[in-house]
Amino acid sequence: MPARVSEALVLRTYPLKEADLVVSFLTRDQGMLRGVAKRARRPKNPFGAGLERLSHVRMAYFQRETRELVNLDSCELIRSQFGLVSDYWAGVALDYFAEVSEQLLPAAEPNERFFRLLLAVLDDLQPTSKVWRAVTYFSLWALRLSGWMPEMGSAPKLSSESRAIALEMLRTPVAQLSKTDWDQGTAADLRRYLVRQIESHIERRLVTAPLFEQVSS
Amino acid sequence: MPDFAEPLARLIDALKRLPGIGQKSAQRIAFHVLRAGREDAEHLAQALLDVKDKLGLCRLCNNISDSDLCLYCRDSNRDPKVVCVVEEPTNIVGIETTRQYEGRYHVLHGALSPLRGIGPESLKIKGLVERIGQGEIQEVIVATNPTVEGEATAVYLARLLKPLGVKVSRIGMGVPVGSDLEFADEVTISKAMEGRREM
Repeated sequence: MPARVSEALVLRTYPLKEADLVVSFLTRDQGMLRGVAKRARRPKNPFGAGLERLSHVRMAYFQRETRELVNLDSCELIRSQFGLVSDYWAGVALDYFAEVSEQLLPAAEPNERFFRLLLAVLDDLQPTSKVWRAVTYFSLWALRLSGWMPEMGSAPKLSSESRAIALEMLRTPVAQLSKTDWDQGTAADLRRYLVRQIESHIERRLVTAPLFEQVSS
Repeated sequence: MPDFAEPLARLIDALKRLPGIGQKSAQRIAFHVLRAGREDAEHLAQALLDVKDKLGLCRLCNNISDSDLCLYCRDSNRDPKVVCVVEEPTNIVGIETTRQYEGRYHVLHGALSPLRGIGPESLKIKGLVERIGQGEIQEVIVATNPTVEGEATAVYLARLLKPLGVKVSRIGMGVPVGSDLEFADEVTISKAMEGRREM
């Protein structure tokens, strides 16, 4: 029963039994894993705020070869996204990142570039006005890193501005993009196109994407 | 899996659908029911049916109730000017155990969670706004869980309710009694510092 400590981003939690949680988390070195955090819903637990959505943590866990679920031992918080909850749109964006990651990534296959993508968009999301930029950048690169990036030339009915933004996003880190004054309407057609591409590949509708459209309208 | 007689297998199957009950627990409960007297089994069956037939939601606060108004809304000794907003009816039990709160409640039946497809329209917020609109309520205490979803719900409610002229407060968050500051994480400590009080 090897003990591991991995740098990880918590994607989602599900209640289990009276006070436990099943935690889906993306590690830098082991890929996406699922584990059981015992007594995680009790006030005095060894996880604290570390199991909140997209918390950046150092997760200590035990992994058995024959078991699909690992046993979570504790986690040390590196960075919390708790401060973003005052912004509803940022909250939706965090849920969107978590949902897309959970749907796109296969279990237990390391994908360090995807991990770095999430860290980059979470960094960019901190000033809450940049929600739309981070969401668009994440959608584009999530598709690319999953090997499903469509030819932008074949994308139907994208505005020239959106095409230019997409091309720049493929060459430039999110923090260095030239366009900084984003709003809900900026590259909205590109964002919808990317969401449709993701949905067609995972063969299901994203729960969080329609909320974006409600917010946008 | 061992074969059981059909009625017993049916009971085990039904019990397994309950949260937190696995195959072994379901077997243990089913055999307990089997060994118990007929009276006990009838009592259990009737209790289950009563829960479905006789319980509904309180007209005012959406708490589970066996009449039009729940026992807290019926209680004339409770302060109608203060309303505590909770996510689930089970949260009321925790607050009532303190015996310090004497106001009324409002149950949202959930918290904002885009990942679970729960938006503001899915929660019982409209009734709360209507109650405030009647003018009796002066303070709303938001006692949603100290999670991302609970906090987002609290922020949403504060923005919605403050313009209606009521005081909106949030329950304190921070270090649990009996724990050690050394082991508390930064979010917990920062929330505890935010909610500090003068002594």
